[in-house]
Amino acid sequence: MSSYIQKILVACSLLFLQSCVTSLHRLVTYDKAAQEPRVTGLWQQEEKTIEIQPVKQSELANEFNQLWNGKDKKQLSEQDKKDSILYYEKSYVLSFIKSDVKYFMLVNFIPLNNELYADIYPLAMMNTDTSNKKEINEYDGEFGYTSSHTFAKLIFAGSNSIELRFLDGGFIAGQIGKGRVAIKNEKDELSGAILITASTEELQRFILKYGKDERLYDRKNSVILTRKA
Amino acid sequence: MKKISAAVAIIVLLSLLSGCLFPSLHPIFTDKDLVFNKTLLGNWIDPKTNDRVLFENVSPKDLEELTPVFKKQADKIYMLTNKDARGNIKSRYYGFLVKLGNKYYLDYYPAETEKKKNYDEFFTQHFVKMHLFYNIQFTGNGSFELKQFDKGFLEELIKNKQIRIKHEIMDDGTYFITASTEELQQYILKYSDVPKAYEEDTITYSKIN
Repeated sequence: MSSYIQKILVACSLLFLQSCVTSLHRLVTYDKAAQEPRVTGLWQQEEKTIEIQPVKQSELANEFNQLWNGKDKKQLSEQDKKDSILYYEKSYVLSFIKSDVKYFMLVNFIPLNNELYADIYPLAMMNTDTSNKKEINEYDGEFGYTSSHTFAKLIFAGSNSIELRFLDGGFIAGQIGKGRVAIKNEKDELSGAILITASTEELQRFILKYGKDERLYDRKNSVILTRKA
Repeated sequence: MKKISAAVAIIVLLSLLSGCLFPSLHPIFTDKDLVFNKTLLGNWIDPKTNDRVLFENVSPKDLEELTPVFKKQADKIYMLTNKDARGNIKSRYYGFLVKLGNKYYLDYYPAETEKKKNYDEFFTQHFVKMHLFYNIQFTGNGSFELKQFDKGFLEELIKNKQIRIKHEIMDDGTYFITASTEELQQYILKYSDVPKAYEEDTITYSKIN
């Protein structure tokens, strides 16, 4: 294959890269997870009304609570204790309704480089139509999907606005391709998407090393949340 | 909320992969391994569940989701539509018929449906598409059988250090297979005749039309 054709193929495949890169592993560990009261409440993002609540106060609280507090606490393993801190004590549920579907996502926060980062992970989606109220399972593992994390830096503008600057998949892929950034990843040859497979520790080191570089963030696709209540 | 309960539990386990499925990030084929068998085109039914699957030639519109490298293989790609007994579309996949050694395999890769396109894009971009693969045997009487590789068998091999295959270990100890196509093919060729390498249940499809 000529180098000219190869260059065209590489350029074409880059068009398929998602702007927002996803990660197999989480960024946040139980010992570094932060509680962030400023994010709770009702927010508007374009047409979406988004609610962010601590897990403990969300409609999923019972579901989470019974996983740990339903057990005799003395019987909790060390891992269970860590999980209960991360997923119950220091987690938030982000939910919104769009076209009769309610979406639930889990959000954890971590301070790195004196900035606050969010780790966002999909939990569930449900039909809100009362005649057909059931969970939508089309993205379950049995259908050939696995869930992944996205990461965003949070920029607070007073108490009524938050900007979420997501990591830029195109920039990271470009830097990996040029050998300027070393982070463990896999490329899906069929879709062109990059999946970061670095461990949680590696991810934290990556943010500590490159997090101050604004090119790391996809500013064009930043999400702006404006407080409603 | 019963299912959400399950989802939350799964989050804690950090694994949305079904226990026995063997999904892989990478395909089991390169372009030279792809074959096309016209016999597969048409409607098929699983008499046990009444689930149906339609095999069609892939359309130019469906190819838009794939990178240019794979678009060149359009004449060897099937579009599979799975429907339940009532005819509702459950899922769609790109289907790749692969010949490795003297056996045939089907590599399933998720495709969009009209319904999925309406879901919130921010939410759905958190789901990574994986390859599911099956051994396929044409039984000669208007039927074919699918046998899925068993994830538990592979995990035991990895745990017992009987195999070296690229993977990630998730927080709950489960394995996420990131092996290259070459590694996957080596695995398949080595274990294709080992009954325990497959799940016990075989899916049989009979031709409708």
